[in-house]
Amino acid sequence: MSATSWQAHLSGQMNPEWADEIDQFEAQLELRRVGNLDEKAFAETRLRRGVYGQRYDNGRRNDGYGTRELPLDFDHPTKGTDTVWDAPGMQRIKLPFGGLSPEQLEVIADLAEEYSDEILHVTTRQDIQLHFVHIDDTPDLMRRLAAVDVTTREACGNSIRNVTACPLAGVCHTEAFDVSPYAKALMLFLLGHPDVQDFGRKFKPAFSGCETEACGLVQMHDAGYVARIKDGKRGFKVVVGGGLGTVPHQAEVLSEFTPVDEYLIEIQAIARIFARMGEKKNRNRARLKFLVANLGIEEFRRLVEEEKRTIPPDPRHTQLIEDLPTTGGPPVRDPSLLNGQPRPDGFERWQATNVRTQRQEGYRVVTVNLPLGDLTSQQARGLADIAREYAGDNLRTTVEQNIVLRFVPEADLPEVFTALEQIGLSVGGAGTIADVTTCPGTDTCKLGIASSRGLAAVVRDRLEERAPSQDPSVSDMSVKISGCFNSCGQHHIADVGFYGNARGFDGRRVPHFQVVLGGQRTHNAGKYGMAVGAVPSKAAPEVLDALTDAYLEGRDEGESFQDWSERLGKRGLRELIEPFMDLPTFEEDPSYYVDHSDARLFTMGDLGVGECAGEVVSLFGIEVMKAESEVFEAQVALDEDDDPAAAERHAYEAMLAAARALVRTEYIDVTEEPDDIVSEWKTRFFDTELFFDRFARGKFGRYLLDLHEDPTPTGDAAVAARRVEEAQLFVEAAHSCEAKMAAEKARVAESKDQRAKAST
Amino acid sequence: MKPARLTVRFRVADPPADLEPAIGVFHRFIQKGQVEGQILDVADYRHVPRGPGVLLIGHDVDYGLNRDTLTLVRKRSGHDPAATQLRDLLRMGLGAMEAIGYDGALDVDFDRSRFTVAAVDRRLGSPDEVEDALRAAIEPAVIELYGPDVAITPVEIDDRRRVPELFVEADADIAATVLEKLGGWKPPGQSPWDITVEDLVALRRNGQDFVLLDVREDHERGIVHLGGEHIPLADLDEQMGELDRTTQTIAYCRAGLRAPKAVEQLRRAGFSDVRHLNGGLMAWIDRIDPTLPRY
Repeated sequence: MSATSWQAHLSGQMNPEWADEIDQFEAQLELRRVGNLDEKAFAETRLRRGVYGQRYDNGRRNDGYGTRELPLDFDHPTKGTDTVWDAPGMQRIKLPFGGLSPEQLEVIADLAEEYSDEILHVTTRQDIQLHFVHIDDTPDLMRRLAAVDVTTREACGNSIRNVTACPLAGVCHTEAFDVSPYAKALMLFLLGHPDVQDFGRKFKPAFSGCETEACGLVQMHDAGYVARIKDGKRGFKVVVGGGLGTVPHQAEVLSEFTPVDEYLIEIQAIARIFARMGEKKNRNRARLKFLVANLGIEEFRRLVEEEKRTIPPDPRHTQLIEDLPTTGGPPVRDPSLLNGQPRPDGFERWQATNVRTQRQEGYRVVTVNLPLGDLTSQQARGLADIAREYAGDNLRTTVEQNIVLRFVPEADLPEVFTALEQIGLSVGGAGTIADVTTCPGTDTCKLGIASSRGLAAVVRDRLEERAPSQDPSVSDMSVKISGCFNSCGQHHIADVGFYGNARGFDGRRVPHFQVVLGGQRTHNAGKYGMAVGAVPSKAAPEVLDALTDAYLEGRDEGESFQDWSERLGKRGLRELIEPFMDLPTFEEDPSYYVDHSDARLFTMGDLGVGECAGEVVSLFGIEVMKAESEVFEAQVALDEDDDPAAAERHAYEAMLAAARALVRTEYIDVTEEPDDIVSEWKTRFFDTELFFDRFARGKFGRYLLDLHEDPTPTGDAAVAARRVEEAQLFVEAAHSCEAKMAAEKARVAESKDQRAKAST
Repeated sequence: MKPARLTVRFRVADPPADLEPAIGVFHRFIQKGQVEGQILDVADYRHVPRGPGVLLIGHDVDYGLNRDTLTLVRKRSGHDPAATQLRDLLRMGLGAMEAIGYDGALDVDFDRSRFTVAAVDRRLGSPDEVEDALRAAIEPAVIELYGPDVAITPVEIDDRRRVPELFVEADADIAATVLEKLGGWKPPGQSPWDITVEDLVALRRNGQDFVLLDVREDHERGIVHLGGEHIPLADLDEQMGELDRTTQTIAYCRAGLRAPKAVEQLRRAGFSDVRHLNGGLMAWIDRIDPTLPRY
């Protein structure tokens, strides 16, 4: 029995543009595997497709005694700086606004089973991640997703990341209007857009239907949109430059009202400014928040207005709005109210925390509480069945790492509860203190310092046990945990946040968590918490109890945890956690020197270089990769497929792509028309002799000029072989041309510098 | 049939009260190379209801233990026929059961005579096609190992999205011999002649006459040692003349993998009583002197 390839099996089922993209990626993968593509350039293209590194991908791991080489094949080229080809990786799957159909969920379940560890992990940005994925499997994985209209493109790297939105959008009581179609339109507009390819750092957009609720968290995003209606017209309050990270920033208001037919051109302007003026070298200061802070919001606003006027007209600016994308199917059942149906054991408790009313009468929103955001492939299939039966095409992932079902008739809730119970997903407590949010931490992240998931699992267990007798104001609190200061677990916006760090004691390293108190989720994450001190990882669960106990004892009437913590202040809060800061020596209690969910002695030796930001490769570097892939395809067509005509077409495309890559360094809006590319390239690079080789002069350039006169393939194998050869030389010449220009730029900058020094 | 992944699940006969010790067991498997495969890391999924429990993740195989099953997933071996993959998984799985018992920290018992097999590769065709092909592919190997009376029946699965599974049920007595047929399992680095770290303490306490021989490299010796002579394994052939063939010799290394080789070399050369320190320095540090530096 032989297997059909997924490429053949799914042909015709994928968006052709996406299918081509994946073929290109597969070709680049092959190029890199045989060592014919630069490691940084490959890492960039890989990250842009959501193919991330994972802890230990440098091929080394500390086993508790010392750092050892993992038993992998080290002979392949690397897949990024210090990244072993065969080392496990993470695949991020981008789900705009968290929207997910049962069919898509089923496909992801299959992928988790065939390429990962049968676990689907919902992230704090509404994505789904699979871990321990081998890079060789990623093209097929992407094809199977593309066949159900899901992309991994720009899920990582320095690009527009997943567009998040309130999971209640469309069913919420307080929203101005449903933001989901606009979130999707923004995603479609920007996906692969030329203006978002040259960022110095990632860019995260978010949408919210209303200002006061927590769901959209727009204040902590690079670009945040809050739905508003003005004079009967839809639009957004737009905020920019927010973000968590090491230095949290609240976003600032760019516009009190941007009508919906202008928000796409506006984001394009923002993207262009960020690409042009944003920091490129120092990735620690490269997010938009630093640019906005440096320029000031008034200047930034002025620049956006100015930029908007220079953007060439694009029919998509309005088309996408006139013909809004769909974001969910109709309800599958008629609305009906719960009325005397038998209620299974545990139903009431679950209903109290996991069911919310929605705007549409008779329907309810059900939150499926996923512990630490995880579910198994089999649970995912069961959930797809439940969705089909009761909710239709209306699943959404949430930033709290859960999944919600919308449009569930109230009368069917007992049945839904029973069905969820049968697949182990009827855990109550959604949105309560027990519903802990966490990033992957040391489990799989290269930057993780302490085990955020290990701590979260312990805290969750303890709180769940206590839930029935918990004081309601404690139940309503939130706990969020990050493995390091980068705050992917969003610890800044929790009542009690923790982030991992380490302290030295007794000659050893001890895992710790910094305690961050009093952050705010409501008002779209309107206030960040304050760090009050670090406690040993193993003491952190006790610290949480001490804090909630002190709050219950000392609060004024009606006082929230946030207000209470603000009243106590940093000093008062620190006094509460101080008793837990003491460490036993290793001899007294070695367990403090081992992290949660681990058995090894704690070490920071496994920390790697993060790939969060992606490699910063020049715009030329990214563009010229297309040319490299085309040359590769040409070679394959010639050598393996015996198809000289195809080889000739690819050779021509390769030269065009390389020429365009050069042109775009000077003229970003050049079209993809061969005539335009060749004429722009000719004026700028050939006629100026910039493209010329020292010895061969214009020889390589003329390959393109000659072929462009009549690019029709001859079908002759000898001609094809020559063209492929020429294309290869042309691409090489483009590389040297760019290198020459870069060197020239550096020289000019240096002599300016010297002149400046000489004159002082 | 050459599936990209093959899965074997054994039933846990007597579930452990708590899975937590499995984390330590699996980490020790990595530290000491106690199970087969290119092992990379341990993943804790105990928080997932009906989830995989604790996973020992490898490049070519995953071991998963929850309260109900010991699951083995053969990965990246799609170049091998299903029967070869199955034999590998059975050897690895049955070996892991021995290794878990040998480690001792996890109180669990397995049913070795019943398991399921699945080809997890949806390129291979419809569930019915895959079921037939899988049966044809593995039946001869299963009969060879478990005898002609072994029963191979399809698992009733009413969900077409799941991959088909075959259930193998064999005579318990025959099943008990399968690991031996597949090459057996022995504690890694185990030679027939070994002593425990506790034995070594006793030897020293009794003032017995013996030579302690460190076979590690020079730089390792510099980090920590237990005294005695030092000849790196690579130099042993050349320098063994310095040792007395009639005195009892105890060889040791870091994890207990190199010393057994030294034992065999010395015994071949006519040394009368050579043994190795089981588990090496790591065992010594774990059980006798935790203040020594680990490396």
